[in-house]
Amino acid sequence: MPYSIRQRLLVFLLALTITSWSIIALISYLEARSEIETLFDAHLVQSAKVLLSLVDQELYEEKPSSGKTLPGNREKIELNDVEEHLLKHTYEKLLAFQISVNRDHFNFASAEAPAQPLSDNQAGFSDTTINGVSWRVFTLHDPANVIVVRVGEPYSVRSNLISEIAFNLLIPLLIGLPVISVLIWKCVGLILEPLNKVAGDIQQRNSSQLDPVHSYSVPDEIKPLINALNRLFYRLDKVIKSERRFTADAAHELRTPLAGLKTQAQIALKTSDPKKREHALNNILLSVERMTHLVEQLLLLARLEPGVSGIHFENCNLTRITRDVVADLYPAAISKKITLEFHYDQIIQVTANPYAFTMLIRNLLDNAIRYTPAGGQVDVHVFEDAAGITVRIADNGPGIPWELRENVFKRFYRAQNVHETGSGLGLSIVKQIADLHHAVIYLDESSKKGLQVDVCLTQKTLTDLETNEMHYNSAMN
Amino acid sequence: MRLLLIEDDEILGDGIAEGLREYAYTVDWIKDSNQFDSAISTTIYDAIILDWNLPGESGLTLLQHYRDSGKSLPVLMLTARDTLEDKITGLDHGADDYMVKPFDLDELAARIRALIRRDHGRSHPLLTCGDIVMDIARHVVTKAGEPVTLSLREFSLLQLLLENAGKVLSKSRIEDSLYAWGNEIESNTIEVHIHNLRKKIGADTISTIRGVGYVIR
Repeated sequence: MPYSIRQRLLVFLLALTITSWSIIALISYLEARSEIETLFDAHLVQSAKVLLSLVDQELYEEKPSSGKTLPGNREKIELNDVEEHLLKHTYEKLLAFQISVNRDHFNFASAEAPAQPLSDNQAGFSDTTINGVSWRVFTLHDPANVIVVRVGEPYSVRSNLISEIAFNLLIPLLIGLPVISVLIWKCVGLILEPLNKVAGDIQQRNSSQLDPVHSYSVPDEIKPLINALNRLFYRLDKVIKSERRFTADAAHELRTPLAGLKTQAQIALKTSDPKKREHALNNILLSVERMTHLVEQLLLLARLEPGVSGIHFENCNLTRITRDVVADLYPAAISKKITLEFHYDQIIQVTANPYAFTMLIRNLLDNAIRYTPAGGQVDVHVFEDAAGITVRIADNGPGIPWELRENVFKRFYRAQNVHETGSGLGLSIVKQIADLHHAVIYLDESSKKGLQVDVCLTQKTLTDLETNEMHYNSAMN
Repeated sequence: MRLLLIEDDEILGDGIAEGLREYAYTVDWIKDSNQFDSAISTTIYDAIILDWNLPGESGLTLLQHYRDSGKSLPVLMLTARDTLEDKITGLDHGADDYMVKPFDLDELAARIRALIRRDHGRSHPLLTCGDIVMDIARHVVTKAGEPVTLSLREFSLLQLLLENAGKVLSKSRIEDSLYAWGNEIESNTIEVHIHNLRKKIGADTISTIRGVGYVIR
């Protein structure tokens, strides 16, 4: 499924930011709430204690001997004093208190205090709801249990503060989120920029631009991709070059004789000189022969293509096949004053297609005679050793440079500085036949500084080869 | 007009050389790039026909070296490569024209005529001097509107003189242009051709500059 790394990163990073921020906010909120509860409770206790001590002092200063009965006209004065002594606090006006002197006698109350008592006489903290308002109350007695002070505070005071704190925690998140989103988007874009550059670079190429993509400005994570791409480019380039070379070579080999045919035919038509006409006509015949040879070789190659049925293997006498080829080409060697020798120790039987194998040896020997200068030497050996059966053809000609040996088996390949005529298909045919017989060809320098070709057969049984042939066929189908 | 042909294929090379001789060209044929330098330095050619695919140094490399050395003879490239890329490569390496095998001999001759004409700074296909008109393409010469029958050699000689009208050509320069390597030339061959030509187109058309050569005016 297609997706954008940028979008995904944005979503993931935002989700992560929101989650972690929310957790931090929640913890801070809970912590703050518990601190506020403690603080406000402490404040209640503090206020109750101050009130108690004030009331106590007032009572005993006025009437040090006469018990704890207060005249009604002193009520207001005392209250004002008490209020003055209370700590000034933002939330103080919401602090309510009730003071009873002489148990159950309800003497003083602040303006905010409800009419009912905020609690029973039990000392300590308590919660109560009066007229729909929730109160947090602290109740305090003097040691003689004469004065009871109840200090109450509506719960709304602290819950207001707590929600304000919570809100303050969320505001940065609400403001920060869009800013963070934009920053993440930009940063990811910046990080992905080299990738876009590479993509642009590759997109701009045409099919023939297969030089490597530069990887120095690319992040490490992308480098393996670029390297893999470059390796692919390299292989593709090699294949395309070899393909192009093949078509150019094939075009040359096929079109040049046709061009020769055409010009010679035009001369034959045009000239009034009978000698010239005869010369042209002879050249036309020669061209047709050359083209025929070329076509035959191409057809042979097509027939030897793996998977083409009709190639059968049989037991045949390799020594004899080789000797017949040597005998066949003997006149050609003689006419070039080349010494051609055939060596063998024993009759060697192999499983092969006799026609194809004859063709293989013939092509190799023909090449050896062709490329060996007049007066040279060509030796043919057939022998069997631990490694298998070998047909060796060695000459003292110019040889094939090491770096070209890989190429000579390619179709229509012709080494430079070679003036001999030929189709350029001979060694391709040799290779194809060798492959069909699972034979391996080794090119080496001969003891006489020429070329030595070894065709090595590891002897297979008839069934082995035919099984392989069936594999080829089924692979082709 | 003398041409240098570089073609490694025996039958095609023979065909081109023979065919162009029918068009009154003198053709020297070499089969690889090794002989190119000596050929080009010893003989004056009017154009070069070059095969791309040669054994050893390829025709393309050869052409590049030739152009790099500052030489400007018209070069027609023969090749089996017919893709657009190949044509562009060939022309960009200094070829003046490009023909894909197999080609028509008449077209090859026509393209060479055009190349030489352009090289001589002419655009009109007819060569004229006074009342003599030569149509190289149709191989026809007329004097005052009347056709004149000329042998191949006479035609080549007249063409050479007309191409260089007003310039004095030495006997050896004329021999060079008319005879390929290996042709036996008698010491008085050129004089014989000039004599025959004068009989056919008028005695006073070609002047002899004693000790120097011949000129047509």
